[in-house]
This record gives sequence, structure tokens and C-alpha cells, in this order.
Amino acid sequence: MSAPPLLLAAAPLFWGWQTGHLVAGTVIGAALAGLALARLRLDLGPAEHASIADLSTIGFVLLAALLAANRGVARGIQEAFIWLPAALVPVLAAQLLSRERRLPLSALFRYLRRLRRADPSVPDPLIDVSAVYLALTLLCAGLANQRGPGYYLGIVVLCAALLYATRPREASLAAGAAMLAAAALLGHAGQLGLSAAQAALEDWILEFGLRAVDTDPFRSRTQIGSLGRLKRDDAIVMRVFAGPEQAGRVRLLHRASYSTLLGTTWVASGAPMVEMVSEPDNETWVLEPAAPQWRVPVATRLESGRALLALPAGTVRITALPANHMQRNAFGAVHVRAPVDWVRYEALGSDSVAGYAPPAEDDLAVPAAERELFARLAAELGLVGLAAEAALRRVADYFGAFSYSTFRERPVPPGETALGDFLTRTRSGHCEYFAAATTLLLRAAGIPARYATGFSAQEYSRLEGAFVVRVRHAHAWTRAWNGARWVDLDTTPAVWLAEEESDAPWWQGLADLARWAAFRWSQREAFKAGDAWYALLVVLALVLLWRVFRGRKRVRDPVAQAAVRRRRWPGEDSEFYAVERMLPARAPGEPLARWLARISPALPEEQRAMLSEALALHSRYRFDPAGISGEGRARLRKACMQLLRAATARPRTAVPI
Amino acid sequence: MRRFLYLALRATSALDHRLRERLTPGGWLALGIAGAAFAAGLDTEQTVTYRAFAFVAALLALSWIASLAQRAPLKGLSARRELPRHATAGEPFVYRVVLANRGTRAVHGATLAERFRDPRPAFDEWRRAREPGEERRNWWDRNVGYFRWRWLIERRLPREARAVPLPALAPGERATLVGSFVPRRRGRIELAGFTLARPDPLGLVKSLARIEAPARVLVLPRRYRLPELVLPGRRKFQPGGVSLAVSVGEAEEFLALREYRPGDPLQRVHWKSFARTGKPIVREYQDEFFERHALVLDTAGPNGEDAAFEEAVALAASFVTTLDTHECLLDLLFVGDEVHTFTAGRGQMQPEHLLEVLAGVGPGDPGAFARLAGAVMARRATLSSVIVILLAWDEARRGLVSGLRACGLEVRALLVREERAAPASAPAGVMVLNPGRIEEGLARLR
Repeated sequence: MSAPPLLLAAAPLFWGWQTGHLVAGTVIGAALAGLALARLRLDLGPAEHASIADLSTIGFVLLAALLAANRGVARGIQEAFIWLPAALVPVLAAQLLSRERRLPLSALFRYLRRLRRADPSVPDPLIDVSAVYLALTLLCAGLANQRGPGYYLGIVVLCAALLYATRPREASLAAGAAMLAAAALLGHAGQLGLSAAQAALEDWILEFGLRAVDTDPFRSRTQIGSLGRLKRDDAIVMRVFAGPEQAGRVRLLHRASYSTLLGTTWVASGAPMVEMVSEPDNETWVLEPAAPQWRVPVATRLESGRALLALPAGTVRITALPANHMQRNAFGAVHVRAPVDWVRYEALGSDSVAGYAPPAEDDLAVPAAERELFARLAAELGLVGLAAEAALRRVADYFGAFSYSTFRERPVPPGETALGDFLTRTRSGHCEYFAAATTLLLRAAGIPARYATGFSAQEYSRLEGAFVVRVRHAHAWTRAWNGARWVDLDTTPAVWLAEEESDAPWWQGLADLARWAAFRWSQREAFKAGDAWYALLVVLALVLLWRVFRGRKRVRDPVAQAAVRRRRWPGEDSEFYAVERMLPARAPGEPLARWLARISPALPEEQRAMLSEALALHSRYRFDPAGISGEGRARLRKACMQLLRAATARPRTAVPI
Repeated sequence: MRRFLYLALRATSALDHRLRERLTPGGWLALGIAGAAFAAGLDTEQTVTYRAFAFVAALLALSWIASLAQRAPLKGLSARRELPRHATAGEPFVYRVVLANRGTRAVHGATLAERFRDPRPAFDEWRRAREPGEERRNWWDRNVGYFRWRWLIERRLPREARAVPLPALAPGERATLVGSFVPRRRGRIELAGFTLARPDPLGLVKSLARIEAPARVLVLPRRYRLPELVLPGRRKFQPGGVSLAVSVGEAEEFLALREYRPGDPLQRVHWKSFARTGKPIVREYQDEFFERHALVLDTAGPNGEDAAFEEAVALAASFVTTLDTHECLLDLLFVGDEVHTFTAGRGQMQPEHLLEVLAGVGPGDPGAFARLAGAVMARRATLSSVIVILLAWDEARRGLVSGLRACGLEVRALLVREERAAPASAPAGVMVLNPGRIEEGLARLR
């Protein structure tokens, strides 16, 4: 399949538009279209094509390595693939400049070259890579992730143009157009379906607790009532660069709070995320207009470039955070997007700010199914009417008699709720049980409370000089209103961390060392090429080009030259053979004259005469030892070209034999 | 595990075959785009290539449906072949196909392709076979057996069996097309029928219709041009004569009747005279003196059916076609499970028959060379000269060549071996030929 020159220009232009490299796309498109239309040909053999392909490969690999080193492996490789059309330009340019306008397959596969070195009879067919290049360009444009309708429209238009250019000759244009329109509609529905399917799949993954770190600020699905042991993961997701003196401050790092319990899911109702605007330095984000009293440097791992930040209580400002977007809600959740794997920032805070949205009606709501139990328990504990501070202490004391467990072996008895079972029978559970029960108990006592999630930073690493926070340090607690401000109340038995620590694998130390090395690697400075590097690259490229093209002669008349080179017997390049292929088949061994006599009755009168003349000239060209004059050769070519034009315009017919 | 691998290879081959039949080059490109776009767009949040996947998958699906819908006109076509008797390995095999449109609708834009019998090997064959040079492959390739599978399939299929475009065929019209392919190796090619194909309006997927037309083509070994050979004209006594010899040269002529002597065959007793005289009388014939040459093909090489073996068979075929058997006899000897001998010339087999025999020759047990050597030595008295085509050079082969020479026979010994495996210095009186450069070596043959 061969792509027409116009498409070779349009595809890089489209790629440039989608990826934001419009200038590069325009230059590439213009260069390729120019080469496709030009008559310039170079005498390039398989060795030259192979060198050019190797050059492209090396360039691409170097680019991928550089981008991977600067932006992380996954992102770097993705960005390198965005640049793939540019890296492949030399390969396609070599094809367009070559005499045959095709590449030997061995240019693209070293393995084939090795095979051919061992056995030269291994076939090395010539291929046209223009259509494949075009397809790759369209795909690479999609890697830039432009979410608008432009990508889909561009794909449809360019594919339609390619299909039109390569359509079967006898195909119905109307049918093809109808199919194309139907495919565009079907494809549109399909891509919407795929997007929805992924969302559903993510929900399903969330449902089964397979996701390592929950980043949804609107809802938090709990494992309350689930059977079996909770899944644990030792991967480090945060590093808090605070000294042991700040241990109390960073013990609970808040990510999101929720006000409403629906079944086993907490929801942040009435707290939409709102876009934040950074300070002019693009790195400072003010959460509360208060003067900071302390600062805690933090590094957080991002998942797919997104993270719900874990912040110490009372954080009023975030600095040194080069995020692309930041959103927050009234409950203190802060969501950022940044194109890196790890993001570093400083949380600046004050102990004297109320911070989050004041209590609302939702912060006192107890679900109907739990209302009676918690009202009775609040009454039993004498919480109703008690001062907030005293009530919080009493609740903490009450849960102090409970035990910590990540394992649930029996289902909730019929007619009971999971929390009721936890409070009245098992008196054992993990942090979500304690946080949910504490929140509802305080609400039953008339104290506004919210269910808070985040991490507990308690593991200090002397290797890193920081608190390391692992996935299994994810925690839930209660945020209660003491009448003046929100305070954190963690009723989960303090042994939970030690218990989980004891289950850590023996190789955790080694794994941590590797994680630390990977983290340090991700935090290095990006490599910036200076002028000297660019100069060196230019010199290297020139040397390589010289090595590839030195001694290559320009082919003046590509068609004639190719014919002369390929000719193995006199008259082999006669155009009469092309005419023969367009006409009804000649039987094996049938002389041309007899064949012509057989098929002539089915041909128009003027063609018969022209065929006879062409055959006479061809026979002289082919067999006459004296050869044929230049004029005769020109007449033969002209007659054959006229016959070819006539044959392509006329549908082929069968001739009885 | 092996069975599982076999089934996986079988299923993969079937899928590959179906896709090759169904998809046009554009269809392959679309399938490639769809696969790459799907892989790159697995996470729909990270890239938008899933949109390209959705569109291209829709294109392919619609093309496939359209291809099913436009299959009907192709079903009205019938075809038959006009096949030559033999093909030659490595040479284009050209034949005619007569096509008739017996349907009610015109057919245009279709192609006709030869369909070969399912070339996939059976489990036992795949398990037992050894690809030439398989011992040099790595552990994984040897155990998975993919290359062996491919080798077994390629042995059965010719190359360059391209689809031929059909002219427009109105109902009731006939056309003759020229089909061709190049057999890769000698042996038999099994033709199953034809596949008619026509691309859908988008040119991605082909409609298919199959015509059953089973046939077989015997592929003769490839032959090389040999230099002018002068074989010794010495005639040797052929005991008992040649029963089917014709009247060229010293034909079997009746001389006289004589009394029986011990040792005379009973067939020669002249019963009428016996009855008349009461004594056994026998017919006496003139003794037969012919030139008789032996062509000994060493099929007991150490490496089975490798390139050297094929070249040796091709060499033997070249001698068979070059030697003039009108005036002499030519014995072809080789060994499989047992020693086989075929004789051409003077009313015996035609050289063409020997070529047919050579088309089916397979490698024998490496230890069987002694039996072959014994058979050659046993008939040395009747031979004028011997051409020995060897695949190895060891004591047994050296013994045969020197033994024949010691009997005064003119021996042409040719050793076909890979260049790297050939002895550093050629054995005296033995011409060493390397696979791939046979003609170059044959130019030195006298």
C-alpha cells in the first residue's frame, strides 16, 4: 500500500496539531510531500537503507532514554513514542529518494540481514512503508491525549482519504462512502462505550479493594462488613521530611473527609471540588489566609499524574509545588495534577485556624439503620449534654477496651448492621470500624463529626531521614467539632501499626533500599543539553549522513536507469509486456502473434492496428540482432502507453479460447 | 505439554491462514492499527488512541459484513486446470485454468488463487521430524518446535503462488487464466482447489468462495547443466542378456540348439527337441555386451535431509537427464530401508522414470551405506563406469571408491558437503561440491 503525497503532508500536520509540535509537523509534512513529488532519485542500495534505518533506531532509542531519564520511565517512553514519526522521517525519506521508491525489508530487520549474510538466497522483498508511516503518525498523535473531538475527526478524515486512494478499482464509491459514514458513527459510539467500560472497570476494582491508594475525594468505600483479611502493600507512597520532634504533627496526614454514610460508603456531600489559582510564582497555593507557624516538607507519589495530597491538620499554604492543576473542597481535600511520578512540596500550617467548613446538618446525621443503637450507646456512656472535650475523652476511653484486627471470619448476623456487630459482639476491627463508629457515636451525642481518611506517618527511616508512609499506613479516624475548631480523634488502638509492622516481609529492608534509590533517581535534576551538546549532535549527524551518502550518484532518469540496470535479456524492458498483462491471458507457449490473432476480434478496430504495430516493433527490439533505432524505440513506447491507457479505461472482457 | 504446543501451533497456523485469505494489504494495515491503538489506549484516560481503535475496528467489522454479503456472484464460477505432467523444483510451474461463469450475475474485480491441501503436519510427524540444522538452534526453539513446524509446512507448499486477477465475466462466459507457482522442493504437491476472492468496497476484507478441484503434481528434482561427459565405451558381458532389449546393438540373437550342460537355465530348454530326441536340448543365444553405467546416490548421509542431500539428489537427476541411455544402460542405486536399483535404457525404464524415482527419494539410515556399497560391488563385473555421489567421506566410502577403481572401473566420485564441513584438502580423485555453488564446481567435471 502506498500513501499519496498529499496524505504524507497532512498526517504530520495533524500530528503536529495534536501534539503541540505544529512547526515540526509542518516541516516534516512539507519535506515528505516535497520528496514524494520530486523527481530526484539517489542510488541507494540495501546497505544504505539499513544504515539509515539503524540511524533512526539509534536516534529514537537515545531520545527515549533521555526522556525516560528526565520524566520517568513510563512517561518518558510515552513521550518518545509521540516523537516516533519524526524519528522515522529518515527511513521514509530514503524510500522516497530511492530509485525503486521502496525499501528492502532487510533495512528494517537486522535478523533478516543476518540471515541473508549466511544465505544470500533468502528473499529480501521491496516494501512500501509510506502507508505504515501514515498509520503510525496517526497513532502517535493520539498519545498526546488531546481530549477534544479533533483527534477522532482527524482519524476519520485521514483514514477516509487513504481508503479512497487505495480503493479497489471496481468498488462502488457510494457503498464505500456509506460504509465509511456508518463506521464513523459506530466508532464514535464504540469509543464512548470503551470510555464508559473503563470507568465501570475502575469502579469494580475499587469495589474489590484492589486499588492501592484511593484518590476519590467524593466518596470512600470502606471494607466494613467484608470477610477475610485486608490486603496490604508495603510500597512507599509518601516521605515526610520532618524530624522526630514533629512526630505528633505528622502522625495523622489528612487527605479527605466525608459527611454522609450510605451503606458502607462515606460520601462528601455538599463539598464540591473547586479549582484553585496559584500565586504568581506558579508554585505557591494558599488554602487559608493565615500566617504559617510551621512547615513540613513532603514528597508524594502520584498515580497517573494525579494525587490527593496528604496534609497535616492546620495546613494553610502549600509551597514549592509546580502542579498543573489544583482543586480543593470545603472538607480539606486537595487534589493535584502534575506530569511527574513524585511531587515535592512544603506544607505550611498554623495551629490556630479553624480551617475547614463549619459544621452543617450532615455532620450530625446518623443513618436510620444505626440510629437506635448509637442513641442507646450515647445515652449509656452519658455523652449527651457533655462538653465536647470531655465527650471526646470518654469516647476515646470507651474504644480503648476494643481490640484491633484486620481479619473478619464470620459474616454479620442477620438483622444486624456491621457496625452494630462491631460494637456489641466482636468489639474488634480495623480502623474503618473505629472511625465510623466514633463518628456516628459523637453525632448521636450531638457533636458534629466527620469521617476522615489519610495516612499515619509513624515509621521513621534513618536511611532517608524522613517518615516513610506505605500503602498499608492508610488510616481512617474522626474529625470532631470541639465548639471552636475541628480536632482529630483517632480511637483505633495504637497497636495497629505495630501489628502490621510484624507482618512485614523479611526482605522489606532490601526493598526499601531499592525504593530509596529509585526515589533519589527520580529526584535528580533533568538533563539539559547545552550548546556544546547540540553542536556535537549536529557534527555526529553530519558525519553519519556523509558516511551514508558519500559516493551516491544521482540517478538522472530514474525509470530508464532502473530499466537498464534490471535488464537481463534484450528487450526485457519493453512496454509491450505491460500491455500483454492488461489484455486477456496468453496461453503458455503461445506465440505473441497467434495470441494477438486470437484476441483481436474482441478488441476495437483502432487498437488492433496499434497492437500490430507495437508487436512488430517489440519483436524487432526483442529479437533483431541489429536492434531498433531510437525513433523505433520511442514509437514502441508511445504505442504501448496509448494501449495501456485504453486498456485501463475499458473494462476487461473475457475472450473464449 | 507437547500436545498443547502442537495444538497452539496448529491453531495459530489456522488463524494465520484464515487472515491471509481474508485480508487485503489494507486490511492487514487496519488490523495492525487496531491492535496498536488498542494496546496504546488500554487506559482511556492516558491516551486517545482508543478512539482510533474504535473507528478502525468498526471499519473492519463493516467490511467483513459487506464481504459476506457480496459473496453470491463468486459462487456461480467453476474452474478446471490443465496441468503439465511434471514440475521441477525451483522452476516456475505454469498451467492453465479454464474458468466459466455458470451463475446469473456478472463477476468483476475478483481474483483466483490456488488452494493447497492442508499442509499442517500431524502430531507424530511434527514430534519425530528434525529440521535440518535443528541441533544448532537454541534450547527454546528446539523444544517449542516452531521452526520445525514452519519447515514442515513450507516443504509442502510452493512459493510465489500468487492470486491471478480475473477478467470481467458475464453470465455464461468463459476465460482462460495462467496460474503459476514455484515448487520449493522435489516430491508431490497436493492441490485442493481454488479460492475466489473479491475485496469489499473499502478494500479491507475479501469475500471468498471455494471451488474444490483436487489434483497432484509430481515435482522432479532440480537439475544442473553438466559439461560434456565422455563415458568409457567398453562393453561388458551382461549374463542372461536383457530380456526386453530391442534390436539396437548386439541384440539377443538366436544362434543354435545344443545339448544341455549343467548350469543352463531351465527356461532355455527347447522342449520340442527334448521330446524328439529324448535328451535335454537347449537354445543357445549370442551373449549380450552393453555399456552399463551405475549412478550411485549416497542417501545414507549423516545429516538427514539437509541442503547437501537435496543437492546430491539434484546432481543425480542431472546425470540421469544428461547421459544418453539409447545406447547404454544406466543403473540408479540408492539405499533406504533396503537397497533400491532402477535401470534405464534399451527398453528398460525411461530417464523420466528415474527422475520420478528421484523425486521421492528420502534419506536412509547412516549405517546403511555398507549395504549400498555391497550392492555396487556385487555388480561391478557388468559395469563400464560408476558415478558415485557421496554425502560424507569416511572409511566405508573410501573403500567403495578404491575398490571400484581397483577393479579397473572408471569412477567419478563427487562429494557434496557444506563448505565448513568439507575436508580441508579434497580426497584424491574426489570432486568436492558445496551446496549453493554446485554449478561452479561442476564446471571442473570431465
